[in-house]
Amino acid sequence: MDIVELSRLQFAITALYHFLFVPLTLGLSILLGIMETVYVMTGREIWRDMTKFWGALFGINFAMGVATGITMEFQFGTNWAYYSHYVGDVFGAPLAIEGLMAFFLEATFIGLFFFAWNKLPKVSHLVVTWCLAIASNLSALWILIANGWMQFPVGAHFNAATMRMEVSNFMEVLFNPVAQAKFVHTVSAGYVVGSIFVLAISAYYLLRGRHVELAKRSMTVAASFGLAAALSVVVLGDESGYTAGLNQKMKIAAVEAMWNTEPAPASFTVFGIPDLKTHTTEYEVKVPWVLGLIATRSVDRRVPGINDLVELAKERIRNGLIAYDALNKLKTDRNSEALHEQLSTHVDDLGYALLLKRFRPDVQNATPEQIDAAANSTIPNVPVLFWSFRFMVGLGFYFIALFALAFWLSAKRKLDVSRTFLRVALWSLPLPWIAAELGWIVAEYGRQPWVIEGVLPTALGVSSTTAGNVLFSLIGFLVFYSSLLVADIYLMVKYIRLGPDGTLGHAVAAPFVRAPAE
Amino acid sequence: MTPAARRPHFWRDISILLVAKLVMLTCLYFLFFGPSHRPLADSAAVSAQILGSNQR
Repeated sequence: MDIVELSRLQFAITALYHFLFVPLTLGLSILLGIMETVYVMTGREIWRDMTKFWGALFGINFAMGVATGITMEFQFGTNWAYYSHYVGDVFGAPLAIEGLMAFFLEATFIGLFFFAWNKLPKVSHLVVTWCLAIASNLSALWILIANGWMQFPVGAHFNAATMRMEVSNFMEVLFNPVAQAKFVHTVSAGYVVGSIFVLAISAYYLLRGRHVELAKRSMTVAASFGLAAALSVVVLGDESGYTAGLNQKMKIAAVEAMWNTEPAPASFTVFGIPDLKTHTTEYEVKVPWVLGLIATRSVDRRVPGINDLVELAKERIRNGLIAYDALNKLKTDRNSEALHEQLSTHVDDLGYALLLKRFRPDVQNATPEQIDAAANSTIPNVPVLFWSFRFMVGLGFYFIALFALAFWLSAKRKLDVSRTFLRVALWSLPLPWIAAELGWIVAEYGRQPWVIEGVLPTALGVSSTTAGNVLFSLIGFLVFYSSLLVADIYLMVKYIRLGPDGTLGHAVAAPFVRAPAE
Repeated sequence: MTPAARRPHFWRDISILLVAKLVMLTCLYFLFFGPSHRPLADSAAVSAQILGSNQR
């Protein structure tokens, strides 16, 4: 593996590991708010004990997850130095705000949540819990604004003097439609993770006949909130896909393994075996119209296929070479108006010319074959995207069915009747994490070969360091994260087995016991 | 062990975990990410990377 692949692998492992913790934090924090709200409204102690017990598991997850994202920021400096310089002016601000949100706002409210139960009035503590949930979600907002800009780089321009992208309109960066759609889709996925977590652990207790009252109430909250969240994930995922289609047409075409442009409205391939070499999909099972309706929300707009997008990439590479030539000459003739004009006319395609760097250093002299090769390199790994997306969507619909069944059983007061349902709920525990990670694989793997879509190829963002350095740090990461994972699973299993009584240090209150007046 | 006696262990476990993590992160930082491990990337370096003829 070369340094680009090693750096990508290291970042991918770190990000995927970090995202094991994030969605549970997002989901559980809202569930804690809901449980405590019921406690404050009814005054029944069991709801306070529920909040405290699930809060303890939330605490383990937070303690494990906090700072696992820091290593990604370390990597910006060591492995992605060129990337950091090239887009740091845009990317740095949301990243810094995210750090402030996560480390100061969220951490402050976490401290109050755990240590102020007996020091604050009930309503004030409830406000703290909701502030914790909001702060967790806000920190996710800022990191997704940064990530959304990598997918759809708006509100910035290229400065030839500093050789970097600079912010021209921060509000455009902030209200980037891709970032906003990504945010609501991601936090909804987090709510599903939190709900399945509560559902599965509650099912574990019901299967063993332990903590039945607490488990049934927890399951009811998880089923209703989870059903709303799972439905939202599908709707907001559709929005996320639609916004991705605004500027990441290749990603959409790759996800659908759509090699050739079809007459509108395009059909959706439910099943098939895509072949990157022959640009064909074997054994296709298609549903007419569906892709066209989803991707364009119309019946008359076409969804461009991969082969047509490659032809478009060739044109953009040739255009980009004009910008590249102007940029090159500006280094020796800084004040030439004509060169500035030439650059600004073609600067949107400059990134496409940079794709040629993989094929020859002096890109101005690229042959037609090298331009063809660079254009073909804009095709991401179609089979991986095709299947990742389908498994993710399949799991999304499974969660809707699971929550709907749990909701129905809860309404009928039969949650503890069907042991088959409880077993299914328990064994569903890892599935939302798998779906969430598959979602990131679709989002990030589908962006390749770009680190900033259409602006900077991934290979040019990597530092001038050695593959050995990256390999050693990657091994260090694997040791670090493997140790954390073992500790996380150990602590989670330990406190789940201890149950609410053991974790809280007292017997959970009976269902209708009211808390003493303040 | 009574449930009441178990409660303090939660914070003991979390504290041990956080300290261990801090130690590991510090080691990672000094081994791989300290200032000496960060290559220079200023305008000139990026210019050379993009406009220069050094092939990656």
